[in-house]
Amino acid sequence: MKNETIDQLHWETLLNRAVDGILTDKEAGRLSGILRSSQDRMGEYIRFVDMHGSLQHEALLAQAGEVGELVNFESESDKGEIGNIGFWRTMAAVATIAAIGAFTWSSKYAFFDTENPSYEETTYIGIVTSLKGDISTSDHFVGKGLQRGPFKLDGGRAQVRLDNGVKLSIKGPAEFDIFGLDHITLMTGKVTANVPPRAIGFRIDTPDMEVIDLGTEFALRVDPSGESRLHVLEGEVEARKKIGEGLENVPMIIAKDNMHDLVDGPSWLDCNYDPESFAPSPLRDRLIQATDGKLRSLQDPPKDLRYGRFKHDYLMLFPEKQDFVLPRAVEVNLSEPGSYRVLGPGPKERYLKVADEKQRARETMVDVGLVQSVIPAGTRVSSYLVHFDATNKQTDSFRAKGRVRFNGHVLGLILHQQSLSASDDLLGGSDTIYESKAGRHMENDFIRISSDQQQIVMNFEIHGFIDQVRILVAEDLEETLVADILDRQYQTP
Amino acid sequence: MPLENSKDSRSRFVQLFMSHEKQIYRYILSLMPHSQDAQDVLQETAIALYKKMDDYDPSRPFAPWAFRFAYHMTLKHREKSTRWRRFLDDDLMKEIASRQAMLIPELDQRREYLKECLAEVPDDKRAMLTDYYFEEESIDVIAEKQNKSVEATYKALQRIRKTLMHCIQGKMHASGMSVT
Repeated sequence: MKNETIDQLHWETLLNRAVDGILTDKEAGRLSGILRSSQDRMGEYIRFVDMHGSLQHEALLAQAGEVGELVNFESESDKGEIGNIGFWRTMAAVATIAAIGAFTWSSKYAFFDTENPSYEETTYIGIVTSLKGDISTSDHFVGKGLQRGPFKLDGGRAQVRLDNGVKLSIKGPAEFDIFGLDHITLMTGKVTANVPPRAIGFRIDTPDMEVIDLGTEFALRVDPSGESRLHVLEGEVEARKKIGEGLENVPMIIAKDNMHDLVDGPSWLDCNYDPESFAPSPLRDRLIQATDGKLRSLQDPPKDLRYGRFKHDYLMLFPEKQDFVLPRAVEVNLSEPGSYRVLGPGPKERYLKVADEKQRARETMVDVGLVQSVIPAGTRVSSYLVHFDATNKQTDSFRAKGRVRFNGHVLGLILHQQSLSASDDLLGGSDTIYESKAGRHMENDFIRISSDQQQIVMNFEIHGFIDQVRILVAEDLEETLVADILDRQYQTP
Repeated sequence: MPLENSKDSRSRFVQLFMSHEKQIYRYILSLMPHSQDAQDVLQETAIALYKKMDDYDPSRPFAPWAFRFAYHMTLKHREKSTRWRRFLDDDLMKEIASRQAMLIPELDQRREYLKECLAEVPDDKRAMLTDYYFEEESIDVIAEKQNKSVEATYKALQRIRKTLMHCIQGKMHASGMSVT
């Protein structure tokens, strides 16, 4: 091969590795040297990078109707995100900043016109993910879909998650109005907001203040007298007082890091954090690293999982029995990495007619009776359930897709009705009412287990039954392996 | 004249940012070609611009003003990584930035041709692009789906990109557009 060709190949490899983020430090130095020494290469580089950016950024490859569904792989922990997905997060951040402009409500209007608020539509924009303490007088329940409008909590604590990833922890008694994904008005009570980067610009109005998030977690309290107090737990916010019907001209930027310098600052700022004075930080699930699409991670399990209990179309993922040692072996339907098509008898016939060769080659069809492996007794696991119940939808069928990435290894999935019902007592929550097997029915559903066995992709279809998948996650890989080895030893004749 | 400090000015800023956001992203990407890093810089740029919106003089074009912020945010981001420090010294950054600005009309045209070229890509290759860019699949997941090795899959992706580059180049020549 001529040197020229080798150079060209080397050059192209460098370009590709650069845009894919896999350049070594040494290669980065080489690429830099080439660009400095050749104007032609510089031009090629800019054109190549621009094409790559266009393929990512222009949604040229998006299929109609799909943009906006799997848009954000929301990080649930501090461990970061998955894959090359930050673009959508950025777009959402920008869109949220845009919403600051779009919502040009005057604060007065937002507060004093609540008897007839101008909510834009009645679609769901969030979900209740946790309820604790005395909530007997509340009409809220875990898994309840949230719409624009008033939210009242008489006592106890609640956590909600809005569709832009904002998590609100609420300590009752509290009352607020959800005007949109980017704007709530807190009339009274304690709310702590955790705002992901893509929702920067999220705003909370109170009777005497406006607080706009600039990438942060902040706690707000409105006393019965209508006076607000603010504390910044992470990042920074922009805050200003209301004066008459308007706002102070110059907002104050308050960062967690400069709060100690503001001890003699405005009276509405609580520089010293007293946890009792505010709602606690929103909870995170320790084993869930990130979710996206229509999947929503709940901190508590819903009480009632029988058919027709939920009107929204989220795929709910919630903890069942956590961190315990299996007293007996458990059969799982899927455990190996791969793409699977789970089909009931009717849909199978249709699938075989409709799916082309490529699709069939990509997906492994799963029969009802499949047991891919057995998790041995003695394995330390945590169980999660994904529940999809869009039975209020008027259409014949309804689809939703989502992804979850766990911090631990997924040991197996239980998805067939008999297997689910048979494992409810062992793995399910003790306070949860489960659907009988007749109502659990996978029809034409797609599941992918990633090669590292930490990520599950789901694309579920509803046909008048609920879809459920039970996910068993290893609590301790080392222990799991030991249990596996022991199990094999016992089985050896 | 600076914008008034009001919600109207914020709203106007947002409109400006939204209409220039892709341009700013591509500018950052030329300096820092990995998308994840470029997106981080874009976010930081958006926040910096938002904080400084009152300094913006609306009688002047928005993009060059925003690029200055993007440039400084890229500089800041560069310091976090040895790889980017090795790749970008101050001189090279300035050179890429100025060359990118010169190429903007050509790059705009190339994006139009990219759409046409994508329409010519065979289904299986288009599916791979969709998996990678739209579905955000990693190469190992795509390889697994296609029952191929990771190396073969990555090479296939490189070949598709090369074909697209050639296709765009061909259309540029055919249209008589000069390539600077």
